[in-house]
Amino acid sequence: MIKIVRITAIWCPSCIIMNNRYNEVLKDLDVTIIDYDIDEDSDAIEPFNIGSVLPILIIYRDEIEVLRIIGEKTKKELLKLLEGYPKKS
Amino acid sequence: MESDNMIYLDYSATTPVNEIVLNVFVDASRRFFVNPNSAYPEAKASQTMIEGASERIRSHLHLTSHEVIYTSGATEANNLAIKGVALKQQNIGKHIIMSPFEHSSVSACFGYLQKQGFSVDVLSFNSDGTVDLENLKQMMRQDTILVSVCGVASELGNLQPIDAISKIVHSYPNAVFHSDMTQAIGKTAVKLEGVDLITLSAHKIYGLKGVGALLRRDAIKIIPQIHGGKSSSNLRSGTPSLPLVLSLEKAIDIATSDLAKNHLIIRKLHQQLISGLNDISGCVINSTVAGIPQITNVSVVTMEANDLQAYLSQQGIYVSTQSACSSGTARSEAVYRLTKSEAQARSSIRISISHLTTESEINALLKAIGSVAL
Repeated sequence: MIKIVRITAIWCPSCIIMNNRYNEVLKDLDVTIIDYDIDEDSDAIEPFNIGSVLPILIIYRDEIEVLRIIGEKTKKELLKLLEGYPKKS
Repeated sequence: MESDNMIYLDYSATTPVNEIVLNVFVDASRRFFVNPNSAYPEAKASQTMIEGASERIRSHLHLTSHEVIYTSGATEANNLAIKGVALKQQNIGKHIIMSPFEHSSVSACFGYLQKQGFSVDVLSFNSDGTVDLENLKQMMRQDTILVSVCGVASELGNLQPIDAISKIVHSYPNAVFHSDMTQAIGKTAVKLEGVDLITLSAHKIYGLKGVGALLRRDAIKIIPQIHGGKSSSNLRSGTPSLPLVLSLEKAIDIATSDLAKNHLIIRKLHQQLISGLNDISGCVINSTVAGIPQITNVSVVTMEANDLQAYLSQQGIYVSTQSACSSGTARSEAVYRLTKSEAQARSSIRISISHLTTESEINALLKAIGSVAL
């Protein structure tokens, strides 16, 4: 089972840009997405030990972190990074 | 400004209040305490004075058909403009566009609206930090209802081509052009007539904190964000503060009247600053040729921005890391976006000068930076 934790902030232009790309790419994947806002959910995101660059996508396979995507990526880069993850049937 | 050994070089964060402006506020507070919404003659006189102040503000800014909506500051004005237009026009379209160099009080509104289902695009930009006009033309659609581009970006100081943006936006009948002019008014000459919604703040132009305005072209419809009783505008409820309104008008009056005179002083100080920074090895200037002379963004690449700021602060020199409203993260997104350099983005400080800055203050700053740069 694939779970994706997405951490963004509403004031962050990179997050606004990446939300469009995430939505395009993630809509085809069979994954569970959990969204956190860095300001509203500060307690909840503390265990993720994030740095200062947003947005952050943390991907878990069977509850084990397997990939962390940080900052802006092109759609092409995002597709490559998420290659091989299960698609919706 | 030199007092108590403080060298203040953070005038884009806030400015000291002008004595004349302060006296206007104090005098009006003593003399006109009545609620302008009341029915008695003194209240009517206060209402008339607010109307007079609005008329003079329009005149100072060379505007004819904009309503002056008084707010608590630029953050509220930006919220009113962006959310107000988006919510009013959402039946026509839900596509909105912003520049990547906006203050967080603009970008947060766009992020909020994106969460509410609006489609948000962020403009690309040229190497000098000005927005890419061809990209804007490509992004514009029939359902585009709002474009927001600041007059001057707060971190880097890049001046945007407001006139050209206005022409592109207005070739689409449903699109409204908003510009956060907080860092532009009083610092540089900008043609405002082509902007539908203009944000400004008093405390950036030697006025008082707690007052700003949204200037709305009469034809532009927005939904209020603060509802309640009667006010000087139907679009923003709350008892109008005549003393703050009069003080804002005076601050704008002085800032616009003294613009040319102050510009000459600041340009000379800016040249001194740039020349000195260029002589310090390890120092990289992030501001571009499109920057206004009041704002210089610079990196000392061997030092984290917070450490440099703390060191300068110990020497009594006050500058910013990023814009004051988004401090807390270690990297300047605006600098990273422009330079693509992680080192520059993590080590950038903003030096913002004014006509009150002195040559000796610039020399003290250069000496302090020179002592830590490698």
